Amino acid sequence: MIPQRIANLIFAVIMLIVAGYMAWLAWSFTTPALGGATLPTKFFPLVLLGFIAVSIGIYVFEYLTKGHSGEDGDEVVYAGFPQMRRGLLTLAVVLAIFWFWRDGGEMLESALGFKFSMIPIWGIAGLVLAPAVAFAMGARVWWHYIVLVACTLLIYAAFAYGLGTRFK
Amino acid sequence: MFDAEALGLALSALFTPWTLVLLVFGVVIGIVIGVLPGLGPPVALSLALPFTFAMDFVPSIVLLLAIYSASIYGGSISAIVAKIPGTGAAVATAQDGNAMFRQGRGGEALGLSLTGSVIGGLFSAVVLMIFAPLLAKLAAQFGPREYLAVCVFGLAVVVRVAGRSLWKGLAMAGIGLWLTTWGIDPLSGGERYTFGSYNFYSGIKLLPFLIGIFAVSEVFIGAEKALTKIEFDTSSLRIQIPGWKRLNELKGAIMRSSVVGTIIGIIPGEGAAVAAYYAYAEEKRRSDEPDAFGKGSPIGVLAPETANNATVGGALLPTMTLGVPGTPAAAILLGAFAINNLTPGPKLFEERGDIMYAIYIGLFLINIVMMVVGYFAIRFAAQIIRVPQTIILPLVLLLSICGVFATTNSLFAVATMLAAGVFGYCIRKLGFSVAPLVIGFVLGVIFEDGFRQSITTSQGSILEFFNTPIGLVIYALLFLTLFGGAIWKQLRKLGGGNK
Repeated sequence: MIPQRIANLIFAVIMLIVAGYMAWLAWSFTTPALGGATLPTKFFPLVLLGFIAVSIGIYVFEYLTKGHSGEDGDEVVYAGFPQMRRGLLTLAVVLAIFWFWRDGGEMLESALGFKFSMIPIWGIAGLVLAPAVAFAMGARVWWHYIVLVACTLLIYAAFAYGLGTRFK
Repeated sequence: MFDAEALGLALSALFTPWTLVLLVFGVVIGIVIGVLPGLGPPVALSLALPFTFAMDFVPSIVLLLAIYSASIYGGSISAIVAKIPGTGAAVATAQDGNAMFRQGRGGEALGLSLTGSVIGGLFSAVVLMIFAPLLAKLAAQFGPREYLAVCVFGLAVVVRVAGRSLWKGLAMAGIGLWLTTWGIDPLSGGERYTFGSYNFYSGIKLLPFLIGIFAVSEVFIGAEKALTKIEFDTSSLRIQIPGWKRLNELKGAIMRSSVVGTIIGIIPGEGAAVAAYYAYAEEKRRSDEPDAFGKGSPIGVLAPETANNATVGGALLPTMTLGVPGTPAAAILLGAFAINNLTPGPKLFEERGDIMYAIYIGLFLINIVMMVVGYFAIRFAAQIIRVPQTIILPLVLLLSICGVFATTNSLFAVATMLAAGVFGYCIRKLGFSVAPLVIGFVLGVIFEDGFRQSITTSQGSILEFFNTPIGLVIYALLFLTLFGGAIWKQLRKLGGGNK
């Protein structure tokens, strides 16, 4: 699923756009008076962005002319749809739970008009994370979830009581 | 050179109950993580690093070195038992190891891999002990131009060997270097890519970046094939340690593989997997029965396992003396130095000899403990392969998040880790190697400092960069490393043509 050639070309275009934007940002970096004796602050980022752009440009050229860069012409990014679904779903679940921990929980509280008083937002995010990730990976055996919740509590105890971490 | 007081301090720091418990714990955890497919030394080390924040340096480095050594060895267990190499370093072991296992000689294969790993590890520890002080003495003469040359050497070699595309590797090395320019410019004080947020003032933090690139991206990659079931026959799990007579028969292969592994460990970018392959190929080339390789040859197990563990001491040589890590795992070990405000290099040898002695002696102890733990725990360790990935991977993710949050107390650091994880996932799926990215990220600050200081002292002349004997030697070595093979081939061709 998805040939390496197509995926790499799309990635290269994104990277070139990002490199261009970062170079534009770097152009406005100023060197304070105390740094006058050295090279300008923007010198190194700009040189490196140029280097990155040239390297990407050459591997794009290889894909366009030879069809591969490093003999990956016949390869695909994902072995099949189920693999792609599991990988991307796991990624989405992780990002969603992090968003809930960081902002989403509070937003939900204010939208619903009440506070999660029994368990704090980080607690909900922490408890849900491992089982939700396992579900996204395709786990359908009930005892996996029991083990994950038990291990989550153990890990919490190790950090909170062993290392003195104060989750928030 | 010998400092009795430093040795005494090292021994008193090492032989405390807490350090010894950590040493044994590190070996056990290392074997367990090494056994699990996909989770190699970098993942093991990045998960353990947050726990070292609250420790003194000696216990923390002993824990990390134990995990590093044992996780390389642990990879061989799953390679032999299930033909699934736990780490890249065990790929070469899988063929012969699993063939022996299926022939009912699993105990012999497991014994050879354990013995080879321990001997390789001990050999490289001796080499480290002898050569590290000498290299540190040389490194004491290094200035910005020499450090720049070392960085160029390290990066170029990593790019050359990591991944299949040179340009993809160069792009990743460039991105790794560029990411270190974020934050306040240490030389001029100017702001770079701070996006108006104080979180970026000190740049992208090493720990969240490394954990994201190694552990989090591995969770996403592993998620794709998390439902794969692994089965194997448990009747051949009784380990048989080779006796003196057998070892005497194999001593040539052991010595050669130890030397190969240690030397390859020293060369930046090569690492345990390359050492294992090289040693395997060399023994096959020298063998009277090369056809037996791949079908259950004991030397096909012994050689790669000796070589891959011998890279540990080798990789520590440039890491400790120059602060230049050769492998991603060594880059994470540098993190342990940074956490304790220690800068590896010649100064550390002068001022903190106790730390160096603790590392040498620690490596010896680790290998001895690995022999004992490996002997008794192999049956149990092999069973760990059966633990479903749908349990292991979510817990790796949870540990990563908790570890980063515990050490930084910042959700921003967790976000950085996740961003690095997503980026790592993307580039790995697209066939990029993460090694140039990580080595570039670790070397970025030294590289920029060396470059800018060199250009300032040379008043803008690039030619002055080469006006240093040590630097010239390093550049010549780089040239030979990159083009020596091709030149040699051409010379041989010309020689053949003349005949």
